[in-house]
Amino acid sequence: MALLELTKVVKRFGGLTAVNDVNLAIEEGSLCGLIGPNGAGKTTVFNLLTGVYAPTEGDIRFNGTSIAGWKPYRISRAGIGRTFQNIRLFGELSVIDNVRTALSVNDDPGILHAFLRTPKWEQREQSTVKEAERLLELLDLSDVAKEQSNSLPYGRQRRLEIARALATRPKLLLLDEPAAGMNPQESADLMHLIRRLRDEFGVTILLIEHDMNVVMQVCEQITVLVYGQPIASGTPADIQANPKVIEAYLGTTSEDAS
Amino acid sequence: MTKPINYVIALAILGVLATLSVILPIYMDDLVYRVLMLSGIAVIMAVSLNLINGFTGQFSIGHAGFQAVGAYVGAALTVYGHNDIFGHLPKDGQIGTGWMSLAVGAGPMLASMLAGGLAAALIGYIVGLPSLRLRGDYLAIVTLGFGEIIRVIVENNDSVGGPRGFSGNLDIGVSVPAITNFFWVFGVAIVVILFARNLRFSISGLQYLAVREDEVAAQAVGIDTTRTKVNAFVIGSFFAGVGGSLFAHYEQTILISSFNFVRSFDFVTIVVLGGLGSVTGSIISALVLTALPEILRSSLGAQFNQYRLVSYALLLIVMMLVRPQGIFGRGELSFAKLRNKFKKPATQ
Ligand SMILES: Nc1ncnc2c1ncn2[C@@H]1O[C@H](COP(=O)(O)OP(=O)(O)OP(=O)(O)O)[C@@H](O)[C@H]1O
Ligand SMILES: [Mg+2]
Repeated sequence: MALLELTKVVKRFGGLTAVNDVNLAIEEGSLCGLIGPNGAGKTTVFNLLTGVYAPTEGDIRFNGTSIAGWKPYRISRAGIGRTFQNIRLFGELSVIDNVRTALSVNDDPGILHAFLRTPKWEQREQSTVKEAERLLELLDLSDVAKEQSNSLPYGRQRRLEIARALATRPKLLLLDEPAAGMNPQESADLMHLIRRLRDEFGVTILLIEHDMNVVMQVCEQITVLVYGQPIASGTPADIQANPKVIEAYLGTTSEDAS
Repeated sequence: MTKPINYVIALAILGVLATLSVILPIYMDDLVYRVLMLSGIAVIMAVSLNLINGFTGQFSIGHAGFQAVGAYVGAALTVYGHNDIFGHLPKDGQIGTGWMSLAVGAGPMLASMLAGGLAAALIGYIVGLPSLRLRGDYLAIVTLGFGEIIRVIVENNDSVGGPRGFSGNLDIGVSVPAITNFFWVFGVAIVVILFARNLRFSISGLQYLAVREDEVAAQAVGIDTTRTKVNAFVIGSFFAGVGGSLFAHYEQTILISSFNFVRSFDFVTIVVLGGLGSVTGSIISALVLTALPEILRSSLGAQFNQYRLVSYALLLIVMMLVRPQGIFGRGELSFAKLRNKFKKPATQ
């Protein structure tokens, strides 16, 4: 059984069908890519998976249970973490507090303990600081831990989003254009890290990315979405050789370039 | 309160509050004492509103309505509960000052604050749940309407005096007792302040702040945003109810018009001026904005009342233009920070 399974998923916004009859299976421990031209419906797929929208039709199963129509916070607690294409940090909170907020969902001792500052509270506070520091270190953000998060440069904000998503202890991590706005060195480092996350921490990863170099290097399985519909699925080599993809996908990219 | 030293500190604070509560009414000028008490209640109201508007970023403009619930429920309890429960209080409600009065008033005060607070919290839950599910400004509209509903209910209810105000019941000959004193007002103020501060600087509090910062992201990390908002609203309403009971048993006559929209707007002004989310900001702003009008009123007379609202509105507009984040922004005033400020030029 796949970790994540989409069956005939459709999402319509009024007359616009953003996601059209998508079938997709993500195996546990895999590192997959979702690509496609602008407006293909990639982010909408993530929003369906995380409960921001409920699917108009079809079913989404995670870990064997149907999560279609669940509230986002329940899906997050069930084990799907995500980052946002248009960065959504808790801007006025410090970098470390962004991560601690996510940790608090599991570790919160409750408002009464916080009020009375009980030993349990103190212990939880310290454990979240330690855990958050560990995650910041992993994403190379330790030096800015105390800084206000919206004062960071773009690339580091994206890394902080990943740290925050990891703090929810996800089984499946969804990354929406994690390398956008990064220079080649930064994005190479990031890809190295993404592979490490899968290898060392066993997180299953599905990522959306426009940079083809990056996608082809890091992903083992790729699905191509065009006008809301998957037109191809396979290994990077399969995808690069697929004439449908070259026509639809690369065709639009060259149009973009002209 | 984990270490033994904390218990000692808590006891010492209670001792100081009790002593002041006995001494101040004797030695302090009546007007000054009155301003002090009203300021203390305003601090309770402002800090509790800050939990809702500042911490979770909602917009309640009906805080005085919840204060009214606490005031009427609390006062009704001490008046109608007199014969059965609080028979040891004099019927005219004058328990006087001094150490004995502290002991005599303690039970009824606690019971009344609890009843008023719980009633306000319950109504906060009923009002908050449907409106906080939705994103946007529904809460503002609903809390505004809520104030009107409370007014209509009270004005049509003779047992709490209807439009004439509530100061007791003539038939049973019991007045609203004067059991509010310095001890309770500032004791509760300290509890509310500690609660807000301890929440703000803890991981539980981070969830409230996260809802304010970005609801979508908050949900994505697993925060039940509706529950968090309702929690803040219910807790804020509870303390508003407690503040209402303190107010009722201080004034001994309550008029529903003292809890109207204008009063709610005063609380919003205080919180916005102090800085949304800043506990110390709310405290200082509440003290200044309560004391200042009282002082001006006593020196300028009735004339001043005409200008009060206008000057508040002007103050808010100037604030929005010059310093939209409020005097203290989201930060807190602390001695450590002040020390650093003074140190910096020396070390550099
Ligand atoms: N909430 C919404 N209401 C209406 N239309 C929407 C909504 N969200 C997305 N869409 C539309 O759905 C389509 C797919 O959008 P989506 O953001 O999923 O594309 P994408 O593949 O992520 O594109 P990009 O590469 O630019 O990020 C677009 O036409 C978009 O305008
Ligand atoms: Mg997108």
